[in-house]
Amino acid sequence: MNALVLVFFSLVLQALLSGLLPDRVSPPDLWFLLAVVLASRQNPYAGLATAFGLGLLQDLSSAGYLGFHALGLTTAAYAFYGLRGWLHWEEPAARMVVLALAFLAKWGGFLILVYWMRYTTLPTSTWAQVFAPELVLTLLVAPFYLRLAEALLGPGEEAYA
Amino acid sequence: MLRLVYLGYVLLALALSALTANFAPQFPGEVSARIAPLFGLGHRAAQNLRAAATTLLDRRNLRHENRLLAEEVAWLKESNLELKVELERLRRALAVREAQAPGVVAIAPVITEDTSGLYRRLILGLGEADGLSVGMPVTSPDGLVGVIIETTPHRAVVRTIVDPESRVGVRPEGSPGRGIAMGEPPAGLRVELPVETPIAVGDLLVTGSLQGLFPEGIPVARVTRILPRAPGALRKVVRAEPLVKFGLLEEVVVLGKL
Repeated sequence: MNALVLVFFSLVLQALLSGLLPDRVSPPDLWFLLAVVLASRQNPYAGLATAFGLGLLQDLSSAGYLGFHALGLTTAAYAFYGLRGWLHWEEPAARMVVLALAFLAKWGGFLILVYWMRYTTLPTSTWAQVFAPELVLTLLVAPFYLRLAEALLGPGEEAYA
Repeated sequence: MLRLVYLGYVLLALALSALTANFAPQFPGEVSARIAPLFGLGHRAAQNLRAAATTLLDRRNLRHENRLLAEEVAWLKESNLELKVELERLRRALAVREAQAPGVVAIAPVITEDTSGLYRRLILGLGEADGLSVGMPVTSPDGLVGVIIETTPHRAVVRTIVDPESRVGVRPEGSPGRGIAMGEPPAGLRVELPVETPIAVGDLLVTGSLQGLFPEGIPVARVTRILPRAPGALRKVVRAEPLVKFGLLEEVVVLGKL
């Protein structure tokens, strides 16, 4: 139940931040943080499925390519599970590294699908104007978001590490 | 195993994107439109917050605007004051025109006074360029001031009636007898009248020379003293105080030459 509350809150907050920030600034990706948080509390198979589902929901809400965000979030969750074996998710600094690398993985998923659909990669301006600010803002918001998620869902399960 | 599952999701995503793009391109848009209200709460909240922020900014703008308006009001007050002064000046000119003048040439500011101590002359802020010329009478609502004796393009010198070189033909108001008022520095007039002229202290003297420099009937001075007549004297001599306070003059009315 609390997980649904977190999903609802995350989506509302995502819309809120998107509306509050200037158009030229990409908002932090709470979908990504939500996928990682849910992945951290599930086994990898369920985590990948959840991330894929969240991504599909994001695709539908944004009227984009169906599977675009799904692949991104799934890749991020997959990267999260891989990185968690190398880095301690409980350590705040390590969390930031895991999140940053998972974020890169998410964009790696985007690249795969963009190349699949268009036979090209993302333009440089996208990296500068979307990727970079989104990464920075997401990492800035992450500590607060993770604390909120912990308050709602309780301490993270380490059984799936 | 997890890697295979992940690859399965990758393939699924690629298939979904390709299929929807080729066979159901409107599908994501239709779904998005239907589920938009789910995400509308945050958007509306953001809009309200932005509106609140805008309101706060507007209030700051209102402060700025208020300051500008206050400055404008101050400017308007000052302008209004200037207009009042101008109106008063025009009223005085009108009064002079109605009472004294055949024609007002200009209303000239008094820039300064002659500082010689002997002469009593005024310097006006208008000159030939404004239509002023030598010989023009200069008056004020209170009475006669003098006559222009020198002009430059933008300045004029007025010899006042108390200047020692001033000569003004006068007569008692309402009674016969024409005489000459001569300036007696620093602020008096010495008036010589025919012996038979009925005159008393307090009587008003007005301009009254025939074919003189000044129009008929302009108030000049009030008699303050009648000097005792010397034996055999052919004229009655009185002292008079000009009606115009020269030291307080700010503007004068210049009349056309007769």
